[in-house]
Amino acid sequence: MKRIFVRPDLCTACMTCELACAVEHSQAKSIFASPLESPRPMKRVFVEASDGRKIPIFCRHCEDAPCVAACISGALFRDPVTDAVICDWGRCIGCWTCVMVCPYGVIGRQLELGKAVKCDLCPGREAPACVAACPTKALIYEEVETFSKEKRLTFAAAVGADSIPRPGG
Amino acid sequence: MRHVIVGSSAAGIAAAEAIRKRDPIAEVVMLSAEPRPPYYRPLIPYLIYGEKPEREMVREPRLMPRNLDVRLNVRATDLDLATHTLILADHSTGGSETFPYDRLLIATGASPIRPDIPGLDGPGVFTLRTWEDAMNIAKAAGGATHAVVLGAGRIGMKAAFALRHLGVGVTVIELLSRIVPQQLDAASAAIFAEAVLNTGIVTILGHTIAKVNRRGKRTTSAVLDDGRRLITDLVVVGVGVRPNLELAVSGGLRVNRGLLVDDHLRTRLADGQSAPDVFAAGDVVETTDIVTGESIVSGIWTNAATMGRIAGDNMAGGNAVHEGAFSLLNAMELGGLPVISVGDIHREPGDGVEVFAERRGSNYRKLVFRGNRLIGLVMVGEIERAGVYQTLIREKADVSALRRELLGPRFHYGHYVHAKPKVVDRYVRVG
Repeated sequence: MKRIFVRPDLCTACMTCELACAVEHSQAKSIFASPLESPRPMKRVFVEASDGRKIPIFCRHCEDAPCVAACISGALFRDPVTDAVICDWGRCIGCWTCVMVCPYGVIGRQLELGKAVKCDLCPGREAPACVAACPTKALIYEEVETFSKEKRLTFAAAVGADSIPRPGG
Repeated sequence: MRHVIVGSSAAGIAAAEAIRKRDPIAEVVMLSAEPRPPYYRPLIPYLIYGEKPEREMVREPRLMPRNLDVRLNVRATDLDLATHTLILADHSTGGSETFPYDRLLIATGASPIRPDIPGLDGPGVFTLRTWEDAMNIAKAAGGATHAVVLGAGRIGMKAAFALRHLGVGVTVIELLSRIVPQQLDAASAAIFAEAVLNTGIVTILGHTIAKVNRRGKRTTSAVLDDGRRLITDLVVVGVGVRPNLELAVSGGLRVNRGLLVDDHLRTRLADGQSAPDVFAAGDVVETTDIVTGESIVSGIWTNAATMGRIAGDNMAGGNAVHEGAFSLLNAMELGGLPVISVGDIHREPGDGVEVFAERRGSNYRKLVFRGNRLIGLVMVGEIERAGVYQTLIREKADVSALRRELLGPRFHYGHYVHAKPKVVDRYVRVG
């Protein structure tokens, strides 16, 4: 099961991921033609800043996803193949219950259509458009196990090298 | 092991999913008193004006829990805790049977209240709770030119908009001084009053119906408490719901306004002990308000789904804790304008409560703080990232370090992450 992971320290807030996301989810899929489309292409990923630090915010496709549980029309569902949380626009009624319950605030509104907009992990692509476009590799698309193993090892090494204080010490 | 779920809406389905997640082989039986396969109850106003095809309102079989034995048109009338059995009345055959369970979930929901008003109990007067109710309103609206809706709450307004869609002249009567009084405060209600007016729906506030007149089987008019007489072909009543407690009472379970439960959503016996094999979830339950700590019966879809998941998990051997529910957790779009309201939004400032409100055109934002906590939120128009605020309310988070960001228009999850304890920070940096 692959997921998008963020390494915030590598993010330069160039917004290439936002642009690539909107283009990928357009009809023309072209940086030149897409902006003129109607309905307007929308991004599903957000690069924010706080406290002078960049923080890209992405849909986690949560295991017990609050948006899926709360959806009153059966539009939000977990794709049995990719395990991604997807919004079926045929069923979405634009009640915005998902916007109200998403703890990360990553569900948007397509105002022209009155439909909820969210990350779908770019079905059909090897890696989502945002990840493929990220110039600094702040975004990676990896198996959850691989990523957490790497993270564990890096942390252990850092603790071993005393570069960060041990808990309680 | 046989799990029996009484009820087939938000709580029942969520429970079936949770049971299946833990236990792929146990028998799961779902009993529904309605003749339709499980559907999305909040969508039924669409049936009145037929905007959404019916097949898009029922649950998709491919997304239903595997191996779920759904029995329709069956009402559980009696519960015997000692023998672990239910008595079922089958509406289609007229027969009844004794039905054993190992674990039981009572998710019987709630039914609309019909106030004791002369003439309100008769033909031409409708409530809006089930698929059948919506079909009946649609049928009555067919030949109607005027309709009166009693109650300007969520359901009343949905019914009013649906009827207006069909070209029916609609008058909404509300006893309180504003529309959608539970979900909106005075300022946001004023914004929506404009949107409602633009659709041609008439609202009469501060009044109620005193009498409904009929000629033969036809409703002809509604008389208000001040003597005004409104010509009408039908009346829709939307003044709230009351938990369906009959089954719980027949088993001797403890009830108050709703069915009482412990923090694992087990029901309680008369002596206050938890009934180990009988759980409850959804609109039938009386629980604790997550924000104020008061005892509430909520009638909210999201609460029902959360309770269902927790109860189902515990029925299948889990140990999930229910922290309480929201008495207000509402998102909707009325007259093309979206609104989200969460928590304790009606609190006046003072006594440790601070209220921030800001209106720009039809955009409105209100935040209610108590001490270092955010306890209430109203957003009209621009509702993006409302979920982050909702999470702060739910988690009873200390927001004292976030005050500035919260009041600004661009509060986001990043602010929340950076305000979390330093150990998280360090971990993020190393990665």
